[in-house]
Amino acid sequence: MPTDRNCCPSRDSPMQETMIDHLPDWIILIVSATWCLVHGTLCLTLRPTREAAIFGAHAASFLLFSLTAAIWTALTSSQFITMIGAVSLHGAYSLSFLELWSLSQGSYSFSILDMIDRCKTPKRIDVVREMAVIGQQKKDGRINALAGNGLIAIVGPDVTLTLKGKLAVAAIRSMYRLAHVRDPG
Amino acid sequence: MMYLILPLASLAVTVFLHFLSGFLMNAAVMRFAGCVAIVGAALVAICYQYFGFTPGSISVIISFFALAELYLFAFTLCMASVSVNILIRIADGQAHLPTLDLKYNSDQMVKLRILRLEEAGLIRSDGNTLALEDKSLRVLSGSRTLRKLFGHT
Repeated sequence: MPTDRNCCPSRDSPMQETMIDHLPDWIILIVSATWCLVHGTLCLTLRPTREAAIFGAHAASFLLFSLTAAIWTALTSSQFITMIGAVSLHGAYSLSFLELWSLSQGSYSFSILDMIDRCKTPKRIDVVREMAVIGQQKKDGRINALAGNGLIAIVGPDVTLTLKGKLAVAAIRSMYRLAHVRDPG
Repeated sequence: MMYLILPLASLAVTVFLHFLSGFLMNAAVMRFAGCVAIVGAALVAICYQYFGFTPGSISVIISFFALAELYLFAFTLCMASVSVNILIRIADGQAHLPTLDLKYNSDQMVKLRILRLEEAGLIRSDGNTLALEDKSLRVLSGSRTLRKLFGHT
């Protein structure tokens, strides 16, 4: 049965779509889900604690799976959209995993809630004082990281945006307008 | 081709609805979740109606949700990232490290976070002291479970 790889027959089509017709498509989707499941289990078992390690594990897995999916699509009658879907599934999994990992590692808000829970009705000023220490560490680290990534240039006490930094700020401001964010930060 | 256009078009509709909803309320993440739920439900109905239960239609739906997650990640990063905040302040003319230190005060950052937690109904304040609301206990318990799960000390 000839199939157009980018055309999608409707259910009213005389061609009866069966599981067999779409076997390569189902396989890549199932492999994608299984791949994510195995990868997630490995990550939670090995528990890498460094940011670079966990990011690297996900980036490597994503690239390897994308390559596998592309080769599968080239070699079988699998549709292009199924490859996109399978890769998207891995992308969504990795993004969710990394967001939760990062959130649980160093979220400011969780730290504040944690402190209030530990101290039981602490004074506002004490919470601000203790958390401000974390804030200062975050800020110092970030300024150095921004300079290291070429977004800002520090000359003595002066800080300037590089071209890359200006482009980043333009993109961020566009995002604020698009998402209608009124009080960022 | 239709398969490829559908997730992108759905994301465009979601982003537009999200923009429009900004005129009605402030909570950007909640607004986005609502828009994704509405457009996602419509997309599922359209895919099932026109393509049936096929790998193609499932892939369209997965692609849409992955794109929506990527957009959510991008704008929450812009909203809450410390680095983004510093970049914006430098662009606004606070291009002097001492000025940046003064204006970009970590006390202010903490106060803003506390204010946001109060707005979200997670903590309450009598002006002087802070206390957890009931729902923040669930959030806290979830965060501790995650820390344990990921092995953060």
